[in-house]
Order: sequence, then structure tokens, then C-alpha cells
Amino acid sequence: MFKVISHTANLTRSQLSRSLPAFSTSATRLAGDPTSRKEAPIIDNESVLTLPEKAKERKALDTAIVVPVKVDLSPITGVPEEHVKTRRVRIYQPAKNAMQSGTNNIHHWEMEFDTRQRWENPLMGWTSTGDPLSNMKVQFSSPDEAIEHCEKNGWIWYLDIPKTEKQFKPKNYGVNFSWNRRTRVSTK
Amino acid sequence: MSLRLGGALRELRIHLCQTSKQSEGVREFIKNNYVNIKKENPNFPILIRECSGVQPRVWARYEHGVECCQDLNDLTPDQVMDVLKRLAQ
Amino acid sequence: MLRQPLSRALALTSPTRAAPLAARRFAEQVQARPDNVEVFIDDQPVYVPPGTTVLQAAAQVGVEIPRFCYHERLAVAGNCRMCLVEVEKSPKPVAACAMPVMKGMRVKTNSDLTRKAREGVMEFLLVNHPLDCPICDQGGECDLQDQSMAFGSDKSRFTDIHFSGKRAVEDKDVGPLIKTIMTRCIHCTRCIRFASEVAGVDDFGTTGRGTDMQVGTYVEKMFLSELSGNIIDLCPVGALTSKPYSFAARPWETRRIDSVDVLDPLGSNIVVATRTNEVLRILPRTNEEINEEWLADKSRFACDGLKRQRLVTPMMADSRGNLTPCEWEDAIVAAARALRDCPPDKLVAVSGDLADAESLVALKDLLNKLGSENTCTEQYFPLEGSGIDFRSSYLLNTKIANVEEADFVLLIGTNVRFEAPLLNARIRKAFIHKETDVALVGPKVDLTYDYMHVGDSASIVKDLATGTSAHEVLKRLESAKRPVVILGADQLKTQEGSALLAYTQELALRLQDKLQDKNWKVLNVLQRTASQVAALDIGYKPGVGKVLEAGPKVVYLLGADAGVVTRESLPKDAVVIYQGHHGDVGAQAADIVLPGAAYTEKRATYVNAEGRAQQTLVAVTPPGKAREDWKIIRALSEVVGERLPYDNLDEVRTRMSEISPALVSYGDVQDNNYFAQARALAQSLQKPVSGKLDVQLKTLEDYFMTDSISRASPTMAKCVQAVLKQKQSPY
Repeated sequence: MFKVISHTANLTRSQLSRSLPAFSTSATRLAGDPTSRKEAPIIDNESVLTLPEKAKERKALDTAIVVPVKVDLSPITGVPEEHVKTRRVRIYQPAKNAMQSGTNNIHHWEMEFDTRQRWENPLMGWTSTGDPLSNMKVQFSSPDEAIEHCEKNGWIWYLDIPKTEKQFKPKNYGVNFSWNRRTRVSTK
Repeated sequence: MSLRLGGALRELRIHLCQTSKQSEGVREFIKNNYVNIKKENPNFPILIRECSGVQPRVWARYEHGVECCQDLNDLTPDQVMDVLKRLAQ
Repeated sequence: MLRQPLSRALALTSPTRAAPLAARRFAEQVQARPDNVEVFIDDQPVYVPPGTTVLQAAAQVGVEIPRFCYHERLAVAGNCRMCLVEVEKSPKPVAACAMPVMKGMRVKTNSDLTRKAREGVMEFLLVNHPLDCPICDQGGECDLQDQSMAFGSDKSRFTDIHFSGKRAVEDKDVGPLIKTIMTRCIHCTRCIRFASEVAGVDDFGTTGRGTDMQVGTYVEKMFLSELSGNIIDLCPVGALTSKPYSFAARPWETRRIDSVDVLDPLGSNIVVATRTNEVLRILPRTNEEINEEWLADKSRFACDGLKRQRLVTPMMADSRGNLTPCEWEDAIVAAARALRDCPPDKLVAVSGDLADAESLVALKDLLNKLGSENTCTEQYFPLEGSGIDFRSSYLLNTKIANVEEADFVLLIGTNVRFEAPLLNARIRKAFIHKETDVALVGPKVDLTYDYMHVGDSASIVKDLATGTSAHEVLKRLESAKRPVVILGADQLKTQEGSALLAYTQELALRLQDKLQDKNWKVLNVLQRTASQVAALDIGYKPGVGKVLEAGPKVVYLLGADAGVVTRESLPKDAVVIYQGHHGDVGAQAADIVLPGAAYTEKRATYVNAEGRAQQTLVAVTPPGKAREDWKIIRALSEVVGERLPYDNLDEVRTRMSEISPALVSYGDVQDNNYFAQARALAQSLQKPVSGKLDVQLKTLEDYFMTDSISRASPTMAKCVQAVLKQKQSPY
């Protein structure tokens, strides 16, 4: 969604100037100290290997402010405009299959598009559709990722948060045998 | 504090939040004045629609579906009354 | 058979699998409480309240122990033994679903002993399980299949198959909805526990012991519950399957679309399974605040009514009065001409049971632009006093989920069991677990739990409200810390309706003022249909009586099939325009028929009885020339000349938010206030009441066919027949 803010913005001016190939300042500063003159000055690898144009660019960026810009990839993704403007994306957590008690496959987030017409093909009886996004279901591990993906592609999305959080109640086998409570089970 | 509703005005809808500070005035207004206004205009629909997080507004619907909306953000109950009086004309 | 590779299936029990978000969050919160005990699941510490079972503690860490008989909403049975896990210092593996944790317990869910136990249990279950997978409906969504792949061994040691073979059991007949193939039953007893606890119809049980044990009703008896379809979901194997859906499809070939049910006022969340533009079945979706994971029978099985009696072309009455198919242009032009030529005060719109909020808004806008104020609903609600101004007067203010926390419930003139089966399931839950008592004012009906029958005259409500009643119910109500009063909206139809509502408001508010918990709301009004709340929110005037008296010239029926508006009640020259999806009562009376979309075919908003807005999604497209409802009205407005200012769904929803912002806050329920103001205005309406309260749906056969979709469903017809036949039986 936002452009990555340049890392060089974090470097301080002095750090940057020190990384530029120039005279090693340490020698002149510590000119009076006899022991340090023998030490070779430590020069940053980056500063040596950077091309002069790149170094100038970095210096220029250091003074500039980077503004986050909304990324819109829809012109280059190849999705026809009609399928960007008219389609609605639903971001949801898939519902647990009511017939089974396993919950391994419902802990991610998915995005799907609104359903368009499907009909039975007269040749073989298979299902035909005119909708290129009919089987498009992308999985994400968090709703934010899904939202970012939709924003990048220009789709209108909405978030469907499932209401599956339950208050934790400890279960107890003994209540089946309670003496005068209604939890006494007749079918043991 | 009398408010005659009718004539070209067909319906009033008041949107407010149940808990926010901006709707405080509207909440007070309804608590204190609604009963009287309704008693004077027993068949006039004054729909109070609460929804949390919404900006307080009043919508007035006139003849032929013409609607007018007024913002009631941070108004006192008296100011709300004035807005309604203005809409009722 | 398994969609995911075996390695992923095996990783099910791996403790290093990332714990699901919800479970992890909870474990962090729970840690802080001082009275929790520390337990080690696979060397991971977790703090749980004492008395929690090992299975629940493992679930908190994210380890899902395999089980067949355990279900979190039913009592613990502990008879399948699949949940056996090794606990250090214990001579035998323990059944995790029943064993309460002890301080410092170390549980190993993936050790050799645990795995051997699981393989052993699976081996025993498969010894007598028939090789029915190819013909079993549960294939592809079968717990036994998945768990045998994940936890079972690869070889079978069942040599007896060459001698006496596997056991076989006769099929039982429990009704036209549930197909039973009891040979496949693994005796987990989930159906028995469900029937006994949740459904309240204690008909299932076990007969015999050992190999000869059979689960059934012992005598041939239909399972007479409105929640009977849920045992199909609960059964982990294919012993109990859906009869209408038998042999229809495999789960991997269906597409599942999440949606909301509109055949009862609660708006239960559903999953619509479709294949090739055909709705195959409807399953429940978990929503803890409305339907938990249950679904009522009508919502589940009436989906085959979506294929019959459908309106697929626009129709107009020809010279002899018969409806003949025509083109959209002709129908719209004729309808527009009728609307334009009609004097504004003689133009009436009536909304029906299944109308969605978008089309209600569009219709009201159109009528208002044409100068008419006569938008009404079929269901009546008294407009005297504060009428529909306050949402709290016509909603379930104690939300559905909070009803299970109540400690006394008073039902006035409503058979909750058939009007809102899942609300009844909640009341029953409170009845069993919280020792809640229930009192009923109305005809004596079977609610699946014991209640105090106070009587059926309306004056009882007056006595309770004024505090003059001699019945002990008054004492119970006044001493309850969380009382709930539920009034059925049907009772407000009569002339005494407004008085009855006034007395109920008085009673509820008198109780609410005394409560310590300031957030607990006592007054609830249970509407009968899914569209009523949205219509009242938008500003429709409830009840057609007054507008029909005035003799309308044009009547626009938006799915109005309850038979409240009939040809005889209208003047001879009245033009009736019907917009709906089934050819039912309304279309019969119409001159112009505009085919609309049913709830599985449109993206529409429905507001449930508590005021929660939810949306249905498009699962299949409308058949033939039918179109979405609000679009028909928009097209009509264009031809009439009063064009509506919205062209796509987002703009309609913006307009809906201008009318009531709660209509577009999907999934949330609002707290409604101003009971005191409503009561102040209702004081003058407290007239003496003398009538008897009667409910429309008294017994199970009344429940099945109440709206246009269920009346068109052959499954529902079979249910009615079967219930009537069961009444003849001596059992």
C-alpha cells in the first residue's frame, strides 16, 4: 500500500558524510596521538564500493522527505477494467464445515469475488461461466495482508469478521450425574 | 416548546450515537422533549435511529421525496430544538 | 480422498503447529488469573481454570485431540475413547474429554502410547463399519475417513470377516428428513444427547448391549423436532444423512457461499452449497450470537422450494384476466403508466415477508417521490403512542445470546418454539444450565421444557404490569436479577394490541428500573418475519387495514404473500402489481407480475429480530428473466419519470445509511434506549384488555409451511404429512 521509506533517511548526516569517500578524518583528528597514527583508518565498505552517482543520489535523498503513495497496480496486472471497477471482494475466514469437527482449515483468511452467473454447458453438462474471476480465491494469513492486496489491485473490498469467539466454559463430566439439577442426563 | 410538524414535512429521522460526546445534546433533547413533541403531533413519524459511532444528524423528508439534512454535532438540546423548528417550516 | 497431502494430515497432532489466533490470545489472557492451574500439554505450559478437561486445555494451546463423541455444545459422554492421551504417572491413558486437569499434569498427545491407543480405537471402530464410502453421502466430509487416515493404522487384523462377517443393523425410519443407515453407526451417542438436551425431544436412545447395541427410537417414531436436521451435522459418520440431499453431490464439487437465512426472524447464518447454478443444500454457519451452530428445519430443508413455482418472466393480465408472459419493457411501461396515472393518496405499497432492505428503500423512495405516504407492511404493529419511533419498541432488546444468561423468562402470546426455534433453543439452554424458569401467558403449547402456565387471557398482562396479580409469577419476576419478557408481535394485531404492548412495556420497564445491572434490557418483541424489522426501521407503516379502507387504485405488492391483501378487499378497478419470486397468493391476485430474486440470488440486507443487519450473498443467479428487486424498482422509476438517485449497490447502501445507519452496520447489534419515553406515551393507551391470547403456530405441522418458499417445497409438504401420520400412531 505504501512505498517503502528509504533507509537512508535514517542515517544521520554525519554518518553519511563519513561513508563518502573522502579523506579519512580520523587521521587528522587524532594527529596528536602517536599510538593511533599506526592504526589504519577503518573505511566503510559501502562507501568505497558505491558509485559516485549513487553516492550523490543518497546524499540528495537524505535531504528530501519521502511521502507514502498509494500503489495502484490495476493498469499493469492485466485484469480488465470492468473486473476491477464492478467487482466486490469479500475478505473472510472460511466457515467450519458443519458436518465435521475438525478445525485445521479455517485459521486463515481468504478473499473471494461476488458470484456471477454459471450455467450448465449443453455439451457435457459441465459448469460454464463468463466470469474470469469465478474461481479466484486467494489465501492470506491475516486480514491486513488481504486488505493490502485488494488495495494494490484496486478492488473494492469488505471485511466479514466471523462471530465465532465463545466464552470459555469448562466442561464437566460430573454434571451428568447431578442430584437435583436439570443437567442430570437421563440417557447415560 | 411547541413544535408543529406537518404540512410539507412528512417525516423526521434523527440519527445519533448512544455513547459519543457529540450526540450528547441530541440524547438529552430526546430524553426531555420527545414525549411532548409526540403528544402534540401524535401521527407524525419522528424516527429515532441509534447506531454506535455515527455522527448525529437529522433528516427531514418533505413532499415528493425532497430531503434535507442537518448536522447536530456538538449541539445543545436547545440548538437541536431550533434546528427542528427551522426544518418544520 | 483427502484434498491435502498426507503430510499435512499427519501434522494435525504436531505440537509445533502454530496455535490458532483465538486460542493463543485466550491463553495469554487466562494466564493472569490467580486461581488457574498450570498444565503441560506436550511440554507447553497453559493456565486453565480448575475443572477444565484435558481436551479443552489442549485446545487452548492449539492441539486438537481427535474425538468422535465429544461435542462442545453437548454433555460429555466419553464413550468413543478416541481422545485417549497419555498422562505422565498414570497407568492408563485417560479420556481427555472427561478428565479434569490437575495441577502440574503433564499430558503427551503424540507419544507412542497415545498413538497406539488411537490406532487401536480406530481399528475397533472399523471392524464393524461397512465398506460404504462410495455410496455414503458423508464421503469427503466424514470424520471417520479423515481420522482413520490421520491416526489409524494401515492394516486390518479383522480375520473374522471371512467367517461371520461384519455386523449389520436395520435402518430406522425417523421421518422424511433424516435418512438412517444404522449399520454405519459408531454409537457415539451425539444424536441421543442432542435430542435430549438441545431439541428437548427425548426420543433417541440405545437398545441392547455390545455388538447388538442399536441407536434409535426403539419403536418406529418420527423425530418430531423443529431442530431435527442438526443431528445430520452432528453424526460423525454417514449413519444419519439428509434424505432430500441423498446421493445428490460430493462436498468437493459444491461451491459454498456464506449467507443468511430469511425464513425465520432470527437471521441464522448459513452456508449455501451450490453446483452449476443450483442450490443443493443449506448448512449452518457458526455464529455464537445468533444460532451457535444449529439451524432450524425449515431454513435447512426448504431450499428445494427455490426451484418450484418460480416466476421467471414478467406477466401481464390479458383481456380475459389471465396472466400471460410478456417482455420486460411491456410490463414496466404498463406498471409505470398505472403508477403515474394514480392519484398519490390512492397509491399503496405493501411489503411482504421476505423483502430485503434495498428494495424496501427503493420502493419507499419511489412512492414518496410520487407523493404517496402509503407504504405499509403486512404484519401489524400498533402505531399509537410512540409507535415505531423507537427501535426498542419492536426489537429483541435482550439480545439472543444474552437470553441464555437470563434467570426468569416470561413469554406472552408467543410460541417461541415454532416462531424462532433457535431462540427457543437458547431459552432451553438457560433452562438446563442456569436453572432458569419460564412462564407462559397464552395457549398451552409444548415448548420442550417445563414452564408455568399462567393462563391465556390478556388481562393477566395487565395484572402483572400494574402489580396486582396474585400469581407467583409476579414475585418471581420482581425478584429475578435478569428477567426477560418476550411478547409475540402477532398479538398486537387485534384492537387491544396497543393496550397489550403498553402493558408489556410498563411491566418490562418496571422490572428494568429495579435491576442492578444497568445494561440489562427486559422488553423484547419477537417479530414473525425477516423483513419486518427492516421495514419498520425504514419507516413503513405497519398494517394494511387503514389503507385498504380508503380504497386504493394501485397496489404494489413487494413479495406480499401472507394473504392480507386479497382481490376482494380492493375496489374493482384497482391495479395490482406484484414483485416477487414465487407464484403464490400475491401473484394470483396481480394484474402485472414482475419476477424478482429469492434470498439466495441477491446481495441483500436483512435485519433480524434483534436489530442486527446482515447480508445475504449471491449463491446462484435468478432463473429466467428474473432480476434483482431493487433494480426492478429503479428501472420502474426511470420510466415513471421520478428517477431514483442510485445506480449501483453501493449507492443504494449509501441511501440506506441516510435512512438508518444501523441498516448498513453489518453484523453488529445496537443497544436501544428510550424505554421510559415509550412508556410515557403508552400510559394513555393502557385500556382494559379482555381478549384471549392465541398463537398461530401451535403444533409441528403448522411450522413447516409459513412463507412462499416453504409452501413451494415438496420436502416441507412431506414433513407435514409425516407429522400428521405420526399423530395417528400410538407412540
